[in-house]
Amino acid sequence: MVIDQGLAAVVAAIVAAVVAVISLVVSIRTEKERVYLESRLNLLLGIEQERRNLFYAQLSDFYDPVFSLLSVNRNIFNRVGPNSAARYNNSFPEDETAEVWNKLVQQVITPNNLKICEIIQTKLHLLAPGDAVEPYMEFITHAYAYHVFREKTYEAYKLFQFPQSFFEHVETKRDGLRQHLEKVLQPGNQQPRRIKHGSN
Amino acid sequence: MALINTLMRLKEDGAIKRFDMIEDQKARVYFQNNKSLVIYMSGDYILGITSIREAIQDEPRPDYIVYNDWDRVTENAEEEARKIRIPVVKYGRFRHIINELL
Repeated sequence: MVIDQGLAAVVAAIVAAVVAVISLVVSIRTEKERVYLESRLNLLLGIEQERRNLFYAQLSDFYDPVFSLLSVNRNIFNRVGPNSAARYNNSFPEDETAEVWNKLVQQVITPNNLKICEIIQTKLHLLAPGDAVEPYMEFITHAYAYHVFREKTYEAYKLFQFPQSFFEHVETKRDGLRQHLEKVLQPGNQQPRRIKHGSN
Repeated sequence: MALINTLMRLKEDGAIKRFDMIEDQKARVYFQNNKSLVIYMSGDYILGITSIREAIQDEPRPDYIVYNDWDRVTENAEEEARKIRIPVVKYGRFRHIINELL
């Protein structure tokens, strides 16, 4: 069979054109997928970064300051407060120790309480998922009542006692958040989880 | 708790000869000259009108209601104590009263 040279050239040109078109389509698809994956990766990296930033903010702007201020108040209360051993074991002059307590209440405990109230009131949106608002509201109520009580003694203050286990509550939530953040920052967790390939 | 600690301290200091606990918050204290007084000390950190009423609820009636430097007294409690004529005194003031009695 004799193939016409002109026809062969046309066929070859058509085949070359088809191949060129296919490779162009493949190349376009690949490029589109690359762009998609890149944007998805950036998006996921952005989300991860946002998550990390949120954890940092929850710790640095809410849980850490609330925890440290509460810790200071608790230490003072335990060492020289009305139920402290210092009050009963006679190792220090009672009137002097009571004066230290009263001064520390005035200069440290009450201002710290008010600082905690301020943090809770302005940073409540930083509460960790699953954390309850009620203990914080209870604390605010106690803190304001205590502030008034220190100015004038009234028996009804018994209705506004420091909320039981509030310190432990904050400590637990803070520890949980810190552990979570440490996990997120581990080298293996630096990359965003799962990138779904395929449809665009 | 607060009362027994206070009495133990007074005894250790030689300010009183002995004491008899009448109840957790009330005791009779005896001095070297055999005089005695009944004192009431609330276990509560806030000395309110309720504490004053508790102090006189059962016999014997206290001669003094004593509170510590850590404790706080409400205005109503002071007024109630004035009405029933029982002095409410801080521990330091009570020590001074004891010294005068001796």
